[in-house]
Amino acid sequence: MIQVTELHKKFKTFHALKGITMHVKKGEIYGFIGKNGSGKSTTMNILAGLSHPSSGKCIVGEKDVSKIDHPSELNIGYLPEDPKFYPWMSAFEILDYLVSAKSNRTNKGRINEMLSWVGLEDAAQRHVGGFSRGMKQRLGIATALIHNPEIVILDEPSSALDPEGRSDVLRLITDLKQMGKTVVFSTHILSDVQKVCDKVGIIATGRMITEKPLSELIKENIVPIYDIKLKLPADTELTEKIKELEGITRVENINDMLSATVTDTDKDGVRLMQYFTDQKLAIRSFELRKNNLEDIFIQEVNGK
Amino acid sequence: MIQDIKKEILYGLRSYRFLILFVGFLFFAMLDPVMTKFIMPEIMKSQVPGITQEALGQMLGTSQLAVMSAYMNDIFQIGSLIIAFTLCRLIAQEIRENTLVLPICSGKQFAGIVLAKIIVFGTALLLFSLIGALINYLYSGILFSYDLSIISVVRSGLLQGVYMVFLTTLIVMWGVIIKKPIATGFLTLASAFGLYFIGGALQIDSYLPSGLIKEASLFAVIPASTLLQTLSITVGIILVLIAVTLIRLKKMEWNER
Amino acid sequence: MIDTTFEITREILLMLLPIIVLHLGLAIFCIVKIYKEGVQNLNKVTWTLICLFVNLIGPIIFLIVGRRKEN
Repeated sequence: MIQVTELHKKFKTFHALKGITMHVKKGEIYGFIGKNGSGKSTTMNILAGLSHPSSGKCIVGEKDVSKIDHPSELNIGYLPEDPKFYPWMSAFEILDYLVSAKSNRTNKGRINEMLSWVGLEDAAQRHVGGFSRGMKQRLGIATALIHNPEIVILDEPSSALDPEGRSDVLRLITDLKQMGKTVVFSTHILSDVQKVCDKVGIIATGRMITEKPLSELIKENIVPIYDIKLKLPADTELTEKIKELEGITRVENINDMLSATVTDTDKDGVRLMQYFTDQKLAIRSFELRKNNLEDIFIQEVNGK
Repeated sequence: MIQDIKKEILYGLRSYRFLILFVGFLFFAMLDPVMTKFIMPEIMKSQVPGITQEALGQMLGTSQLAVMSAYMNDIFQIGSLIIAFTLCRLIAQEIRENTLVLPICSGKQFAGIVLAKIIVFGTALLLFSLIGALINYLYSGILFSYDLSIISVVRSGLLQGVYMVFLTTLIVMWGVIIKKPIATGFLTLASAFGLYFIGGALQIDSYLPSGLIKEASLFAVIPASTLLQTLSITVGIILVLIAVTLIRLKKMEWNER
Repeated sequence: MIDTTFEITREILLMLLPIIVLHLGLAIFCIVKIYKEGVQNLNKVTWTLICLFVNLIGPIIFLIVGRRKEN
């Protein structure tokens, strides 16, 4: 659905994008991760047809963004990072105004359906000027979906919200997945990505560093380390003994936590467990260390 | 397009833009005759002791024509100022605060957005000009005498109204170019007054929109033969300004921070 | 003798009445807004005084630059 190759964007004094390549398949939820200022919003703006690329190809749907006359030709739903509405209009009036761009009749049913989907039916007649950030964000998602597009691009939909607002937005994204939409959303909150994404792209200083399905990325970055906590703190003698076990390459004892690096997570795990049982050492906890996305992100950004 | 117009009307009402503009016109329409009739003579008498009634009349103008010409002048000078700063946010603010991003993404055409603004606020100003002129006619008629024909008053009101449509287009064009509300206000005034002075200095008013203001303040029984020419040139300039606005909008990059 | 006081006749009053009514109406409208919706740029008391005592232009200035941005 979205094909981006070697996308560059230069502003007057700033080279914002230095070669972004990304591929989004139909029905995918694509998480676009990067620090603030890494070029996420610039990329999203180009994907939405609001900004022109300096060079590179960017196909959204079937259209080339540099060959359109008006952003709406892309037929996508777009939510900007900080959606701005007319504060003197009510939520209903805004949707009514926006829906009229592509159909002449007021589509009351569609508007009410959207409002209740994002949970704003009670606030429909209130002026948007008095809305909270979360309400505006949800109204923004409703506006993005008003024409029922196939592709939805959400720029930082959850970043500026409180936990409740964030979970609302994530629920809406999950709904979009069930509707079969292709969703690209950017964020710097990695736990959000972990909750809903199929595929992630990591961007740093205007370059795409990694682009992989989420499950693959996590699998690749599994570290074969067991973190073990015993009832009685382990002494040096014990540490040395574990180190002599087959398959164990390294043992560390930091803050009474034994960290054993193994060669084969399954076999060596059993062997370790067996050893503790044989020695009649009570175990408080025993788990394989999982690299969370945060660690992976930091590794990827620093590593390349 | 109808929805765009509806939106602009809502904006005009809810942000009190219509009210502000209307009160601006009313203010001069009502106060100008009263000032000329009662307050100015008193001030003059207190400043220049022993001034004769005739001298006073010559200085201030005591005919309806003089009063109404003064009103037209006030609206052109101070009225333009009020209009420029009341409407300077019309499009500049929208671009600056990115409120146009969502409408554009959902398929609103630039032409519809721009034309709706000009139609709504141009029509409002045209109406206010006409009503202002009529109220001023009424007031000055009561205080002095009804010397002017109502037809010439209506015509002058409408001519001023057409000039106001030109001013609105100017505001929209500068707003799109500069994208800063206050600067838009100043540039609008600079270009409007600039044209007026150039027209006056080079005696080419009949080729400029400012000719409409000059013609309006004459309240002539028979309009000048060049009026049609001035009107068509003004309409032409309005169309050019709209074209510049649209070209500029089309090239614009949106959602900048 | 220099006469510095204006003689306010019934006629002047009658002619000024619509302006005064218009001004008071607008001023009251704005003052309600000031205390209901809040202000910006200046404080409430200053805006109230401006609306009350600056003939017509006062309320206009308030409506342009003094209203809280939200609505």
